Amino acid sequence: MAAKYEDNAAVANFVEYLKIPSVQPNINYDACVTFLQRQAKEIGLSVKIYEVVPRKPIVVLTWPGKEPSLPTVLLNSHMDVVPVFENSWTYPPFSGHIDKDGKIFARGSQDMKCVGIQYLEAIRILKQSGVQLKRTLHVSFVPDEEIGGLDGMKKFVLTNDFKALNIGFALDEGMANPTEEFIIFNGERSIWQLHVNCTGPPGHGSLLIPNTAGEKLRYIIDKFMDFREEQNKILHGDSKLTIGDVTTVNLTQVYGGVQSNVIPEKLTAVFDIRLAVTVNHVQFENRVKRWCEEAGDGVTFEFEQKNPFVECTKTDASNPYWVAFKKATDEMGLKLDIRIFPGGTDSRYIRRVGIPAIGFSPMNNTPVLLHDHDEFLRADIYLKGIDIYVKLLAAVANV
Amino acid sequence: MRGEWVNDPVVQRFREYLKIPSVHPDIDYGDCVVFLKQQANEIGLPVTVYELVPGKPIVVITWTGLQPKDSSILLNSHMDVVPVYEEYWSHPPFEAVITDDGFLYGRGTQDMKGVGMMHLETIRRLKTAGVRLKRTIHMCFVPDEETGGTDGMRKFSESEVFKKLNVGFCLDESMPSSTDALIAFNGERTSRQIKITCKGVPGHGSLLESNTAGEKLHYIVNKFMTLRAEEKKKLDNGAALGEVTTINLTQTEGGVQINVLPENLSVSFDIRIAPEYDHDAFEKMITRWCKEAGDDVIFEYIVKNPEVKNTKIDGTVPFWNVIKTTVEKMGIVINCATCPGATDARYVRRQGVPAIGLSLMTNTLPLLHAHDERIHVQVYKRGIDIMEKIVLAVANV
Repeated sequence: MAAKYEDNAAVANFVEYLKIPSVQPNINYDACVTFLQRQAKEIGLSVKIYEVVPRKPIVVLTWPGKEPSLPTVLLNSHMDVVPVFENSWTYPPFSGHIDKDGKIFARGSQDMKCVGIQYLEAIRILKQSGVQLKRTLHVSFVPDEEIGGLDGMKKFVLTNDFKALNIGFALDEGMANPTEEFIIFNGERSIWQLHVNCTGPPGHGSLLIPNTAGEKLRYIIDKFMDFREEQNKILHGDSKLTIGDVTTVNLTQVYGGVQSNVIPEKLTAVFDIRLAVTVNHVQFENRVKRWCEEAGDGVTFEFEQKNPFVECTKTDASNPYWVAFKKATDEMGLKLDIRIFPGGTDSRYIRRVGIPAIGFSPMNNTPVLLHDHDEFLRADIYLKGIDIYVKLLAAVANV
Repeated sequence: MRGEWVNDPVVQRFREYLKIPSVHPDIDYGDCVVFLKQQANEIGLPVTVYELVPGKPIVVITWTGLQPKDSSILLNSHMDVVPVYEEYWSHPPFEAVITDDGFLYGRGTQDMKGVGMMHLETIRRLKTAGVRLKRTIHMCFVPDEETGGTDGMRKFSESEVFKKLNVGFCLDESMPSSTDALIAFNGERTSRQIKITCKGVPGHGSLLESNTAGEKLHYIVNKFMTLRAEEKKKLDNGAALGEVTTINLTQTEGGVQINVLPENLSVSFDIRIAPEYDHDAFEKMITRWCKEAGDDVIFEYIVKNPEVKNTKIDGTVPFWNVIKTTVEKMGIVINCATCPGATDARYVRRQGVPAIGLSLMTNTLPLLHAHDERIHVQVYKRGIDIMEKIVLAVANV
């Protein structure tokens, strides 16, 4: 089987990209930039490098449309990959080894160098067939998504350079799915991370004084963890729901106290909360405030991270790009499963500036191996994905 | 009146002891030892100073009884006192000032140089009167009770020297009573400090994994704090502090990063187990809670005091009965309870020796460790009268 793919140029490009160890932390993106510049040249696309933060290049390849004044379509992917525990891999993680079943093994094969190359290969095919699309396509390759995108997409969307790209719609990453369905993400939950400080009178550990920090901490943990359990029940009570549909709460840190026989002045619990897209932010914050008030005097909370509410991208008739996307996938007979992304991707920054974005990685019938050992993508799935993008890009760029 | 008290040698000796600033930290007990030796000489009793730990003398003054083979009576007191915030005192805390209305001010008047001096004055009085007691009396003056007694009564009670004293009964401190009734302590709660560590599989903070450390911690905190609330209810309904088990969440730690499910979260509790609690059952309950909380929830003791049974007040310990009878004959009510705090008596009881805490101070505002600690001279002198009768009774059992 492997031999079958050896002469396939699209597979070869993919493997070449996978071999670049653009792995966190402290990535040197030079090799990625050089590779992408060469791809642009081969395909016949213009290329621009934006360096909003030094050494954090954002590479944008552009294929002008017939009506370049129309809002454009952004095809986004990130160049970085997460670290590996090489000992746990069957094949070296930056080898792009293709086994006899046609599985291409490498870090980034699913998350998400595949998608970046698939965009390019689809455009290559479209260009070679002499097609010109109505809208301009911008293919962006960004750094540091895996560490939160702070020096990548988060900053880039706020620049005038980004505005000048005049983007009307974006595609970004989705996730593999072991079944025949393709998973589509149209939104993300809002990350709220907060510290709840419970204060009370200090005293000797042998007494039972009222209003202690410990009693208040107990109340707070109770409220948050009971809420967590409610959400867990909702999740497991409906087989249609996925983790992205509920609000998750996790107690991730606790600290406080000075000595084991002294009632402390302050105890703190830290929660990582991901607010479901249906949650009203003001109401939820009021609920947390109420819990703190009920816990007693001197219970306050502070945010370490508080993501704003971001509208989900519409997946109905009001979004013409979605209508075109859906029509194209229907014509190909693809089954879609629309979800809210469980974690965070760069799409949230794009949506935050008002641009509709869909997360889609054309990897059905594929085990979910992002961030895992032995991450792989079957070559036939990869190639099928290029065919899908050929139709999909034509559809969304001709809206 | 004031002049009379100032010139009273009984009061003078007490004042002399109070003027020695044997106050924490870093106490030099030298002056206490000199003072006590002088007292022993005046009374005409032998004195032995044991120094199990250098600089931490234990002074034992012995009055041999008519039947020296019988178990002896130990009258124990500590020489150290807790620190003072002098600016809050109406009179300097180490000058033993007597006010016109008869109050003697000083750190240690209540806790517990006053009690130690009652012991000495009682023996002085009995010996001077030519009384002979059946049992041998050992008056013991120990260091460092206020800092836990580790280098004082704890070491002493575990020593061979202590065994040789053949103590059959011990009197130690209780606290002043603001009424006419006396307060006696026959036991203490058991102090234990534990740390419970909840382990879980690390993972991403955006998921709802099962068996997380956070869920386990939630379970544990709930169990302990629910028990605390139940015990607090008893206290609020009038139970004495010494009769309830106290629980306090004192420390928490754990977690590495705000968006990562932690491998470890831990919580520490300070627990004082009331004597009526079955201590083994208590420990089993904690073990069960840990199991119920989930896999890999373990607890360890930071401090684990052994269970020490209360000194029996049901008639099986004759010494208590005679104290009660003696006091009641004087028309005084005496109430016995479990001490809410900790005293050196626990070390004595740990050796199987019955011990009763008894600070004979009625109608006195308890000011142990507080500013303006004081005792009225008449209360002090009446305390000696009561102590004399008690010592006569217990030493002749």
